[in-house]
Amino acid sequence: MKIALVTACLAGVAHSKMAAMALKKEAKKRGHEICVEEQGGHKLPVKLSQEQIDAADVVILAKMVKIAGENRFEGKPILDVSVNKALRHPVMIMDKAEELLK
Amino acid sequence: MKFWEETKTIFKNTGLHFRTGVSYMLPVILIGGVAGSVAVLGGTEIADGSIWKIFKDIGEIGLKYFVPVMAAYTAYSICDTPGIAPGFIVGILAQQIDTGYLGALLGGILVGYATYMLLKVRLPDMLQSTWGFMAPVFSTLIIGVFLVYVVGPPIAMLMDFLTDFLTGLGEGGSGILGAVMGFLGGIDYGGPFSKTQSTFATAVMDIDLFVPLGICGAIVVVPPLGMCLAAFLKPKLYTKTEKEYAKSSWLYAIIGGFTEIVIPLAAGDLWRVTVATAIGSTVAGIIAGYFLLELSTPVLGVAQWFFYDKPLIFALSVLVGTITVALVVNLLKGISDRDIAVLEREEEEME
Repeated sequence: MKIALVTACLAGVAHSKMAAMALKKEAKKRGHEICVEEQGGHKLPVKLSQEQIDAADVVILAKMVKIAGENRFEGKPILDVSVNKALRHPVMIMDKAEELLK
Repeated sequence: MKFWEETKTIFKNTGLHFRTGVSYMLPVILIGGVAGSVAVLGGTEIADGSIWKIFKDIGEIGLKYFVPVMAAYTAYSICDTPGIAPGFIVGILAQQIDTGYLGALLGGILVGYATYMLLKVRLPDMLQSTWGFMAPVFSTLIIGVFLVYVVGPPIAMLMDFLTDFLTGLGEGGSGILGAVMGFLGGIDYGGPFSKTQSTFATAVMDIDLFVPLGICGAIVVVPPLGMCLAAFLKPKLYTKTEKEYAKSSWLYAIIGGFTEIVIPLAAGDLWRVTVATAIGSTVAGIIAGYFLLELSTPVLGVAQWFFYDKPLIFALSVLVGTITVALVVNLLKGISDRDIAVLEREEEEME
């Protein structure tokens, strides 16, 4: 399964990064491919490319604030969760993402 | 009906919209605060035309206009780009009628919602493209009038009351404020409760109060430093992974000034760690509050050390708070039946 993940938190220094790390680890463990975009106030985000978005089977948005460019993912199966949840329960989030595809 | 569903979603997500506003607002305060603090180097009497005067002006602009920026991006969060302009204008209006932060927050949400709803109106094709430009105009006018006539006066009164109350706190009152803020900051490591107290601390800068930010800056480093010290004092009480997190946590606290690093440490032993950090952070808050520790620049981590008015008090509150966390958490862990050997085996299986 190919996953596109976007994380966004208040200051863009801690939660977004940690949630991304937690989900990346869980995805790797299950053998999924994952590409990540971290958004936040204080850095230039590395944007997902159009090819990456097109190729993704499922999109996970882990957010605490509004995600910039959410319309890029229109028509894709989207899992919308809070950053804190993604950080604490990556296993559950990944289960849900897998369910979304079934 | 779709209309009600959308309305419900917007108001259910008020927290998200508000946080988006805060997220865009923080850099504005940061620029203002740093510029203002640097201007202090120019002495008390700054000559017109000197570079310090420019710095001071930039500082004042940043610390004044963060309010409309917040309103603008709260509205942006609700209805994207068309919300920004109405949000800015309503935010400045809210400031002019002395409703400050609260009025701007409410105005931002209302004007964002109004713009969103007006843009949903379907008109004949000929008028539709013009409507895209006109809808924000109408929403701004409607919410502006509403703000000034209806919600403005009570909020202005509330703000007056709040300002009087907070400025008149004195040492004892500030100590209590510090205790409350310390408790909130110590229980969820950068979660909603911590953000409530830090947002409050930055918000009251609007009414020239800098003690809450001083408290906030002091308590934020206490949980990670305390856990680091605790693991250093009694390593036997921690698993291998926990020790690794604890060892690096001081770095996060001192350089980055954030508490989130404590989350993995608390996750394995939630209530004992939470109780300890809450107590330690409350103690630090009381000390910082009682001695009226002021911080006029909302920077985190190592940079903030240069901006405290009483660096010794800062050091004292952090030190006492840190030691309290370490002692309490080791005491609680010491009398618990946490079996480190079993936990370590589980950790290895996970990998």
